[in-house]
Order: sequence, then structure tokens, then C-alpha cells
Amino acid sequence: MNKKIFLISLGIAILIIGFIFIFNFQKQNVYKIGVIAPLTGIGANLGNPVINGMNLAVEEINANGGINNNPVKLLIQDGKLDGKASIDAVNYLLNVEDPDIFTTLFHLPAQSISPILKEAKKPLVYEAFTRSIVEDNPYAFKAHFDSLTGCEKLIKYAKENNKYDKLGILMAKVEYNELCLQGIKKIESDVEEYWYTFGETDFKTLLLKAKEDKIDTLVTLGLDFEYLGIFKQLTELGYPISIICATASECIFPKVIEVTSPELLDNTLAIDFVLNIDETEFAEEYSKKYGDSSFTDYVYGAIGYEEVMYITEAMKNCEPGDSICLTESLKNVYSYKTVINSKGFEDRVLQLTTDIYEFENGEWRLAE
Amino acid sequence: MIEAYFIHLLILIGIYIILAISLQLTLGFTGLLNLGHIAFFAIGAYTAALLTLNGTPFIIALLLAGVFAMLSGFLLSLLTKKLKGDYLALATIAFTFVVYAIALNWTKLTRGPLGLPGIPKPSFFGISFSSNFSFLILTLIIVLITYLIIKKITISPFGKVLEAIRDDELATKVLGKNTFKMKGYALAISAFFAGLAGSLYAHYITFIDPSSFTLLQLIPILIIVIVGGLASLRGTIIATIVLILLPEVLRFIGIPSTILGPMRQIIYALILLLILIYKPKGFYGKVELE
Amino acid sequence: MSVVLQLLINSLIAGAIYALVASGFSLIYATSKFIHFAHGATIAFSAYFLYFFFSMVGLNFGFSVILAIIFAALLGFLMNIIVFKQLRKRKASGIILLIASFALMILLESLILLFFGADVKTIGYIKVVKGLEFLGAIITPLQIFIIISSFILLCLLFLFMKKTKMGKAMRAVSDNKDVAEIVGISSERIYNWAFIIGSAIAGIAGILISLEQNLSPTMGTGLMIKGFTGAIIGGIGSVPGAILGSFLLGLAENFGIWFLPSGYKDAIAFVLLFLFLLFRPNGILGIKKKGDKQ
Repeated sequence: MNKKIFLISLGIAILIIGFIFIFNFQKQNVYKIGVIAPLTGIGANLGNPVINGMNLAVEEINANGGINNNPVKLLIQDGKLDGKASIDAVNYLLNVEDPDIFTTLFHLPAQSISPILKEAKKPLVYEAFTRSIVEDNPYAFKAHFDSLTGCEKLIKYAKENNKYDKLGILMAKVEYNELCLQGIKKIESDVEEYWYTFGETDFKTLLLKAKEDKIDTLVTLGLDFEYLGIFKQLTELGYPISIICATASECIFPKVIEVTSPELLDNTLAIDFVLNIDETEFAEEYSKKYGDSSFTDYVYGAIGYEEVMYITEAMKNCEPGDSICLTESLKNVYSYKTVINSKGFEDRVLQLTTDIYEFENGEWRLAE
Repeated sequence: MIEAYFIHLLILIGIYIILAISLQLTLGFTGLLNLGHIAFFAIGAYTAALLTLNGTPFIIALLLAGVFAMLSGFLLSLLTKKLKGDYLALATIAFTFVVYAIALNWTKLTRGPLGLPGIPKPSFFGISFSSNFSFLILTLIIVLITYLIIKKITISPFGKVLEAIRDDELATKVLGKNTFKMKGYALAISAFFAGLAGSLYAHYITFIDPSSFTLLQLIPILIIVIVGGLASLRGTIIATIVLILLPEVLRFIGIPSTILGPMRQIIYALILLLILIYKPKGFYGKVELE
Repeated sequence: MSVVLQLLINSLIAGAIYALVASGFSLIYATSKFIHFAHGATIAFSAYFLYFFFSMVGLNFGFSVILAIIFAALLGFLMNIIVFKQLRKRKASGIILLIASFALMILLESLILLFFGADVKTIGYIKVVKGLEFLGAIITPLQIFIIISSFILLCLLFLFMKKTKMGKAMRAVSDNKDVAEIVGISSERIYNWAFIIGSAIAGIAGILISLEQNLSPTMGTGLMIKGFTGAIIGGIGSVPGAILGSFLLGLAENFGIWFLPSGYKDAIAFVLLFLFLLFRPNGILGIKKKGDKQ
């Protein structure tokens, strides 16, 4: 019995070492982008489209000769939106496959892997709402919406235009919402807080509480199932509460329109950096390759596609494998093919134009 | 660079060995269905992190982490004094949830979902342990200490009493042993080491947040303890190595990225089921739990 | 006053769903004596079966519902035959079965992810309108249906357990398997039926949830935890207890949110669970098993 176990463990160890040697004899002249995203579990519905978008971009680039005549390759690992899984993934990628640059999705994985990549001096592009990582790690680049400044801008507009009498927040207790609240409080200090645990689908009692507290407007920020639940339940309960949300395209999408009364949808206020993504050429290409897709798929697919575009533009100035050069180059990249209207990095934060929108008669209308 | 990959895996294996053999003390040797182990891990991690983030030297933080975890172990044993079998399991599960809820909601202390980033790497007597290799040495030292102490306990008279409690508590009581006190000690010792593991974890990963300490995190440890075989320390160590390396091997298997994630989980689940069906007592288990 | 009524209604709706989950789970636990984690996967599968038959294949709604329930029951049955029975043959203990059930849950959830994708899905069978007003509180027709059908189903289950031959046989196996076998009851047969019935009920819960809210691959886990908590509070191993405990849980959660700072809803459930385990480990209606505390 002893022998069997030891033989099996030995066998596994030999396998691992063998595979590593195989990998080490691969071509050196390939630009490698490491990706750590949630492929399973919570967040997979956003992680998978990002990967799809990235794949779409990589195929396009390689079909046009690659970068400096070298191909680009994606190295994908499942971070499962879990700190430990992300660290295991980054450990593998960093030490075995050694990509030129890393990308990841969401705050938790980014926060977990940032110290490791900082020490290894590898650039990291992270799609999340939090700034703390880019402030702490000189090799980190922040992309995606910023909930602190975004919520601040939203409530500023709402306050200046008298869009509410008494404000409340209905949010999952997660870090991007803590930051959104901070942004809101910069403008409005009198805010009632209605928190729930992430994953909650029943908001009826919290909505009742808000109604009894005479709240007429609730700010909410979350994922598709949260918006679906909140809008549907608010419609069924018929409470006189309007919603302010972010981002516009994630907040009101076709499924939400199906389950919500038009009166409730009208006058919803939101902020976004990419609207009408489903009418773009990108969406067409995406559907061609991946079939029927939802709005959220296009948005996150576009985010992934964009990442590859500005990363490969930066790669043009560097040799494959030169991460130090790549970090510097990425700081100064401004003209590349864009689908979400980003304008390069400033202080390593991706510049996105955000606009305020108001929903009226079945569609979003620019508010300012 | 390749060595760095293995060093990381070895550190994780070390931390899990500490968690698994300390759980073995209560589960395998004393027969206590203690499923609250993650709570002690969490208490150790948060205690150590909060202390070192506020300037406490690493060694003291490490020890205090163990002590706080141990005290909560005592507390839990007091609270669950009269519970047996499945009820104990359920109470300890509830304890895990309560600790998680506190970590998530007591934002003034733990920063809630924002977690505690930037936990400093350990250093004592002026020697910094920031490189992974030196951290590995530190981990191995603590693993060795844990193993020796727990091994000593299991072969000591105290250990024999624990096993007697597992096999027949009533008889042990009749023979005059204060079984409640013994069970309390076992739980407290087990919790102490889980606290140490928590401290190591916090200082290695340098960032902790409540989501690292849910009941789901207990499952890998439970699997290790069962698959290795109840009341077998050797089995536990081997099982830890095998079960940590298994998902790593799966990383090397090329699967199209559209089905990558779920495929790996399916393979992992199938292998686990096969191990359970062919070795239901675990590899080295000599004991039944009822 | 209307607030209290609304809270009560919200509690009943939640409690009804939890009760469906908890009763099936409890039935399986009472007979097979292990914590069947994968029960949550049965709930999710049933919802996705409905989605598949109704929204993808386009079959008649009622027919799709019946098919979904049958397939859910079948799934439970297969899990028992293929995995748990084999483990029992090899004398595996309750904890091994628990881990096996956990592995099954991962497997099944991954299969859903593989075939249906991770994004949230809805079954648009019922048009969403403002609910009916009733003494100042609001309730929708579907919610009324959930409460009533749950109630009827659970009554039927209760009568089944008390009056029918099979029900009594199940209770016999639950109390003392060895004695039951001596009397001629085949415990394997009972386990099969417990899984079939328990999973069918879970299937119904899945269908109701998919209509009332929506579908996602991880929808089963959260519900399972709630049902599990309800089952404990009511006394694990007692089906009526599970039902009572679930409604209590629904009440505690909703009234708790009202009075406590929000964000503590889940903590309420677990603290309640903990307290019950400490002071009434047999739960409200739990049956004393042999080897319990004196």
C-alpha cells in the first residue's frame, strides 16, 4: 500500500517536471499575455465574455501578421474570483509560462496577485473599480469604470437637478459599493443605507424598509441578477421609488425591460462609458464567432478586446519577453483600435469618457 | 523560475498540513465532528494581520494568533458541551458562519469586504523572511513543530484517552475520566495550530478578506483528512501532497478556453468520487466514524 | 399594521420555498443519514430542465413543468444508485457520503455551466405586473400560488409520512434501520424512494424559484444553505420540523432585517441556527436518536 502511494506521487511529480521541460523548449519569439479571470463560479458570466473578446482580438492581430512579425498568445488560467485560486494561477503563470504582461478581472484577484507581480516587476492590467492597487503598485494599470468618481459624478448631477428628495442606497456589501458610497457622501451626506450580502435575490423587505423611511430614490450598483431582482420586485410592489444605477448598459438591459413597468424604468438615471455597444461592428464580429449574445456579453467582450488592442500597441515598441520596456510603453500608448472609446492611460489609469444618461420611452438618452 | 513554482506549492502544502493534522487531532483521534476549523484559521489570520499591520513583531503576532484561536476553541467547546455527533457538526458549522459574518460586517475592525491588504512579510531578530525560499523554511519549521507536538500527543496517555473518548465516550466517563475537559483541550490545541496556520497564510498571501474563510474552504481540508485516513498522521501528510498537486497537474492539460473552467472542475470532481468509491476508508484509515 | 402584514407575507413566501427545499433534504437525511449537499444541484437542474424544455425546445409550459419534475426526481435517484449505494456497499460512513455529495454538487454545477453558460436566465412565462393589494400589503398571484401549493404539498407529504405504508416504512428506517430490516423493510428500497420524492420536491422548489426570480448555475447552493438551516432549526431528521423551521427562518430573516442594521440578514440565520443547536439541539420537533445527549 505504501509503495503504491509513493509510486503514484512520484509519477505525478515526474509528469509535472516533464511537462515543464516541454514548455521550456517552446518558441521564444511569441508575445505572451497572461490572463487570470473567473471561468467558473461567481463572475464567470463576466469572465468568459472578456476571454472571448480577448481571443477575438488576438485572432485578428495574428491574422494581420502579429506584432513585429511575431504572434501574440493568450495564457489563460481560472482565478475563480478567489484570492487563493488567483494566487495559485499567477504563481503557475509567472514561474512556468512567464508572460510579458498580466491581466485580471475584479478587485479581489487583483488585490491578491498585485504584491507578487509588483515584486516580479511585471505589468498588470486590472479591470476593477478600485484605485488602491494602482496607487500601491507602480507596475499596475487600472482599467474599467471607477465607482468612487462615477457615483460622485452621478449624485452631483442628481442633486444639482433636484432628482431626489430623500436618497438611499440598496447595495451588496462589497468593496466597489463601499467606494461608491464614499463618492456619494462627498456630495450628499444624508444617505440611508440598505445593505445586503452579495448573492441575495430577495429585496422585498429592504424595499419595504426604504419605502417606510420615505426614501424616494435608491442608488444601486451590482450585477445583472441584482438589477433583475430589484426592478422586478419594485414593479410588483409598486412602491414610489426610482433608481439611480451604474453602469447604464448593465443596469437596464432587455431582460430587465421585460420584467419592469415602463413607469418605473422612466427617469432612471445612470452613468456609463459605453452605450449602444450592441449596435457596433464589434458586436457583429462577436456574434459571428460566439453566437447569440447578451448585452453584458458585448460590454465585457469589448473590454477584453480593448485590453488586447492597447497592450499589443504598446508591445510594438518592445521585444517579446521584455516586461520592463512594456510597462513604460503602456504608459504612453494613445492611439489604437478602440471599441469602448478609451483614450490611453494617464497616471496608469485608463481614461474613459463617462456620461450621464436618463432612461425614457424604452431607451437611454444623454442627460447632460 | 521553475523552482519558484514549486516553492509556492510547497508553502501551500505546508500550511495545509498544519491545518489538516490539527483537524485530525479532533476529528480522527477524538471523534469530534469539528467542522469549525476554518473559523479558527480565520481568527488566527485576522489577529496576526491586524497586529503586524500595527507594528507588532511577527513572532508575537504568530503566537497571539495561535492563542486567540485557542481561546475561541475553548469557548466553542464550552458552548457545545452537551452536543454530540451531527449536532456538534452543525453547531461548529454555524460557528464558522458567525465568524465569517463578523469579519464581513465589523468593518471598523476588519474593513469588511475591502479586506486587509499589505500585510508585511515576516521578519524577526532583524532577519527578513521576504523571499519565498526563506518563507518556505519558516513554514517547514512550523510544520515540523506542529507535527512533533501532535504526534507526541497522540502517543501519550492523554492521546490514548482521546481515542477512548472517540471509541466509547460513556465507558471512558465511567472509568473516571473528565471527558468534557479532555475534549476541550483537544479542541483548544487543534484551534491553536489552525491559528498558527492562519498567521502563516496571512503573511504569505499578504492580503486577506472574509471570502477566504467560508465553509467552502473547509472542504479541501476535510477531504484531505478523510482521504488520508482518520487517525493517521502519515496518511494526512500524503493526502495533502496529492490533493494539492492534483489540480496543478490539471493545469498542464490543454483544454479549449471556452470549456476550460468547468472541464477542470468536472475532472477534479470525478477523480475525487473515484478515490472515495475505491478507498472509502481513506488510504491509511483504521477507524470508522459514526 | 400593513407593514407587519407585508413582513408576514414576505416571510411566508421565503419560508414556503425554504420549506420545500428543507423537507426534501430532511427526508433524505432522516432515512439515509447523511448531509446531501448535492440537493442544491437538484434544485438548479430542475430549473434548467424547465428552461430547456419551455424556453429552448418550446414545449407546452405545463408539460415542461411535469418533465422537469420527473427529471429532477430521476437525477436524485441516479445519484443514489450510482454513487451513494456503491459507497454504502463499501461501508462508507456519513462523512464520506457528505464529501461524495459535495463532489457531485461541483460536478453537476459545472455541467450546467458547460451547457448553459454562466449568465443569468429568466423564464418569461408570467407577465410582471403590480401585485394585488390586500389590507395595505402587496402580493402577486404567483406568490399566492407559491404559498398555497407549498402548503398543500407539505400537507400531502405529512400525510404520506404518517398514514401510508411507505411513509411509515420510511420513519421506521429513520428510527432504527436494523430493526426495520428485521421486520422485512428493504432499506435500499426506502433510500431510493426518499431520493425520488425528496428530489421531486426540490424540483418543484427550483421551478417556483425560477419563475419568481431567475436562474443561474450557482442558484442551488444558496437555497440549499437556507433549507439546511431551516431543517436544523426544526430538528434535523424530522420532516414536519424542517417545514416549521423553514417558516421560522423566513420570519426571523424578514423581521430581523426590519429591526437590525441591514447586512446582517445571513448572520441572523446562522446565529439562530447556533442558538437552537445550543439550547434545543433536537430542534423544535426533532426526534431523539439513539446515542443523543441524555
